[in-house]
Amino acid sequence: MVTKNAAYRTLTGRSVDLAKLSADERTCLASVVEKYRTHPEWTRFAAWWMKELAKHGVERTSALFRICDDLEARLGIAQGKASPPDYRHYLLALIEERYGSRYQFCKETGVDQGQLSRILAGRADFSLESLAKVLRLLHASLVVQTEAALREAADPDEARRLLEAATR
Amino acid sequence: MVAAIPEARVETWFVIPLVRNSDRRPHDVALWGLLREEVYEVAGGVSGPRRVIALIEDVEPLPGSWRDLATGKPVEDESRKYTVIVAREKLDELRAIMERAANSFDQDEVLFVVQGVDQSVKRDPSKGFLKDDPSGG
Repeated sequence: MVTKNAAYRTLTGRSVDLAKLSADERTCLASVVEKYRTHPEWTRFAAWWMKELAKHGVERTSALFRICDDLEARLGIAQGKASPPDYRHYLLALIEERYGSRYQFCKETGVDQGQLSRILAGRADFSLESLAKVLRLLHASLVVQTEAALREAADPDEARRLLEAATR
Repeated sequence: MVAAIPEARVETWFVIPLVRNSDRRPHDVALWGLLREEVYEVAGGVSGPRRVIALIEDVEPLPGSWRDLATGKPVEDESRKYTVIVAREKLDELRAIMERAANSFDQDEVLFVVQGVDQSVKRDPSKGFLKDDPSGG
């Protein structure tokens, strides 16, 4: 059973509504969580979950893909095979969650699309003033964290516990 | 037993080293998901749960197996190897993904093999980046 309003949050803060998973998807998720409990090696888990989802006939558009992708990412970070996402991915996730697209965000807020694009590409930087404006529009705050804290936030076991609790 | 691949589809594989070429740091974890999304889109369509990525495996560092294009020195990098089954008419699209992946993953060259033939792609900044990679602007 999935508890009402249960949501899974990815590394970059995207929300995945677990209540929308079908019965088949929930069965598959239980199997993924079971596998995850064994602390699999990053690449082996990547290969495994894709096979498992195919075996269960899970569509690529399913939220389960996003969850598995996130679980895999957490393993990659924990095992030192990948770096945590940089701030641009958090920013894009927030923009897409709140506005649906970068285009819509820029249209509704007056932020210059070209400038945002140059910043994301690393060809320009935010002035403190424009950064403050963007954060205000997104109801977000800038937090300075150590890399160790970032890695801790990506803890695979924490994600597994959340999924176990939500699907119990 | 390995299932036969229908003639209209071909087996390809490519290798992505786990570290960036310029600073030897591991890649931003999000790039691996973006790569998978693009490969699925080209090789699998949007709806099918078909096994388009037949295999993902680690490739251990092999001394001298890679050569730095700038220095000519051998490079030993742990890598990920993807085996992908793709329709023949989609090969150019898959190759285009490799070209963008070379930029996103900061690689001078991506080893790309189609039915046993080396079709590796070299870095070309004009080819752009993987979709949704912020580096593409």
